[in-house]
Amino acid sequence: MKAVKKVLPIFAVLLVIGIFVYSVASEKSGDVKKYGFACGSEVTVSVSGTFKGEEKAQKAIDESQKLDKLLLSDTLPSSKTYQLNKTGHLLDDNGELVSYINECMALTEKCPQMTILSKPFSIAWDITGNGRVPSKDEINETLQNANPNNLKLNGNEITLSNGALISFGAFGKGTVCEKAIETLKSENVKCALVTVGGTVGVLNSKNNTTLIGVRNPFLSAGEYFATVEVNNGYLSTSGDYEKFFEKDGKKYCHIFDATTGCPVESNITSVTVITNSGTASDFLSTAIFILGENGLSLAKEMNAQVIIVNKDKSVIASKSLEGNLKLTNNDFTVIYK
Amino acid sequence: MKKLFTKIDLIIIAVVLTLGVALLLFRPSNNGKTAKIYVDGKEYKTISLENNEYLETKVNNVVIIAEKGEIYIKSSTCPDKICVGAAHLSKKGQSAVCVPNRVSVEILGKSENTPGAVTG
Repeated sequence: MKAVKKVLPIFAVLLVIGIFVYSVASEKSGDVKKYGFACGSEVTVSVSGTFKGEEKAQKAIDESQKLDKLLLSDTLPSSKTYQLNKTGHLLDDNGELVSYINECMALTEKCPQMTILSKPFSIAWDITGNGRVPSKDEINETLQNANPNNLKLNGNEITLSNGALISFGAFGKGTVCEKAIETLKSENVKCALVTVGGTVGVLNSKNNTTLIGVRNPFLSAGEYFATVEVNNGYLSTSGDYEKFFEKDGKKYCHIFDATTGCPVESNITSVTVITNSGTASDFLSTAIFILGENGLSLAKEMNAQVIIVNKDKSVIASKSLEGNLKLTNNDFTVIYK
Repeated sequence: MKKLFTKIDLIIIAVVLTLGVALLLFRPSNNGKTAKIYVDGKEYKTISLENNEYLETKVNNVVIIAEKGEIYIKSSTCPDKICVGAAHLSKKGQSAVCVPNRVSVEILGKSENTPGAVTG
């Protein structure tokens, strides 16, 4: 009896201390979130339950920023792409730009309305400024600039001619997102979430999933109309609701059809694509925005899932999303195809 | 027969266990009422939304208002003003960001039904 009397209070105190230490410790190895900027967007890297999580998350931020700054950006002078555009010629020492150009062109081969030579369109239509409607002659000139023959790859030598200018705007965020996730994987991180603007990268172990919200294009950033559970993969969205301008009652978005040199006009307001390659998800979200429902077969061929939101709030989604996609807003209706 | 526990023992155990449970429940950063402001990717300020007080924060040309248990970007010198149009934050995990001025605001915490991220 005496022994029990002594032990029990000590045990209770130890229990309390244990609970306290556990809760503090789990906060420490719990969610770590780091912030950065790349591809004109905010980058966030969240890492769960990893030893030295802060260092690893920071490394992922650093690598993604480096990739944009040194390779992909067409606005930063430090970038190979910027330098190539400026002089029309580049000797790509380690071949990484050549490699990336080839990766993107393999994708644009599947959709001729897309090109990496799209910068002349953005300039003519002043997409980064107030927007303008160019003349027919100006549009024809941009179409000539965007002729694929203007880009020549000869070993590590890259040449641009006839006013050709490269922009990875339709691919970059997905690529940078993937760079961050791959960096975390190489650091043995098993569970993470990366965002580059509206592009999301998900890393999970085994059958774990992360709940991701699908943006409601009719409301502000952060508002969602549906959710999906994602195990591992990338989600990219293309839409007409953030970058656009209006002239004479007509709305012009920033997604160009490379065969017409003009912004796409359609009933679609946003396309979200889920697939296991960051670059491919970014490419596909733009391609299907241009192609519409006809793009669903391309998505299927590339093992991707699609959510198309039309201007009338009707939604078309891939059949494989049925059961996973859950509407959280009654204004929308979904058909699975 | 002697009792297993005296009254004092029971009181001690009750107090100690209550303390333990209280410590477990009291996790300030997960109650959906703590917001953090980040500038240039680094933590700048932590704000409690608990008492619904009005608090104005000005940093990097961005004005952030906390009031009535919500926090939001009131004004910014950026050209797009996407941050100013964003919804007022009141739930765990919600965030708003001004990219050109490198300022972001977030309500800490996660709940079962809150998405880890929202696509864009």
